[in-house]
Amino acid sequence: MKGKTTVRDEDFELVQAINSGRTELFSKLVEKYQQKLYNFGMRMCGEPRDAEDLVQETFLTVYRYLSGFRYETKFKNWMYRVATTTCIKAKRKPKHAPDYELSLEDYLPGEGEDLPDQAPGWAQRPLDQLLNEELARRIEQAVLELPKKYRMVAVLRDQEGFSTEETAQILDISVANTKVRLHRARLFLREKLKGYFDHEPTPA
Amino acid sequence: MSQHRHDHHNCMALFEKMSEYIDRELSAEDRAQVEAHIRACCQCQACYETLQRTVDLCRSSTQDYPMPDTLTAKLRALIEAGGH
Repeated sequence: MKGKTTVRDEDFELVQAINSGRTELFSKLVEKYQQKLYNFGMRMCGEPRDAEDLVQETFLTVYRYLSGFRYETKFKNWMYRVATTTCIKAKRKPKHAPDYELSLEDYLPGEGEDLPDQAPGWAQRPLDQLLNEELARRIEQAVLELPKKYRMVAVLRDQEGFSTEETAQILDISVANTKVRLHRARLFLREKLKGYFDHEPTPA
Repeated sequence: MSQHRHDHHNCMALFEKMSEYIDRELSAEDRAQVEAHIRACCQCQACYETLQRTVDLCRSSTQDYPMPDTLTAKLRALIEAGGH
């Protein structure tokens, strides 16, 4: 007989305790994950009000369904699944996020196009020389301009730090599809960064 | 000189695999092929470096957003109400 695997992660005991009646310990889960979820909400929605709703809805759903959680995945991954589902269902349409498909062809260099033989300065300068408030805001904005289904993958993989397999599981899509979306999202973001750096004053 | 004898097919194949290469998700054989191509083709090398840098920048832009007091209050209320 094939049993389902139980994932014992760092939250296992806390979740077990809550599910065995110590509901007051739910506050520990909230304390631990509220900032992470709020960050995720801001990266996905860009508006404090929407991010706030996302965090609140997610914790409410987690609280309601925690007793049914069977530890077939890490608690954190399950919670992000709740959060992404909440995000997909959100009625409010963010002004900067039209839904459309990103095509690989859009990012392929055209035939006969004059391609650079060398990476531009921004790809070669040390990271700490590049990073500043303005660039962080530009990246934030570029992420928000991604169509939602690509944005979710990019945020989960490159900002929240989930693996490809975890991201696929959270979003309930295949690993192959996750990789396709991630690659297109990164190409989209690269174009935005190129645009930003092309207009950046040349460093002295 | 190699870029003048650019095999476009290899560039296309590399272009599709570039994120998997960055994420170290390719088989050893595919990885070696990508590396050999990047060494020989400065345009793909430039393409790879800009994509790698894009990923680095996204991974480094993960600052905390200040949580509004209203949210902290709402979550406290949620806990006190026992999720109702």
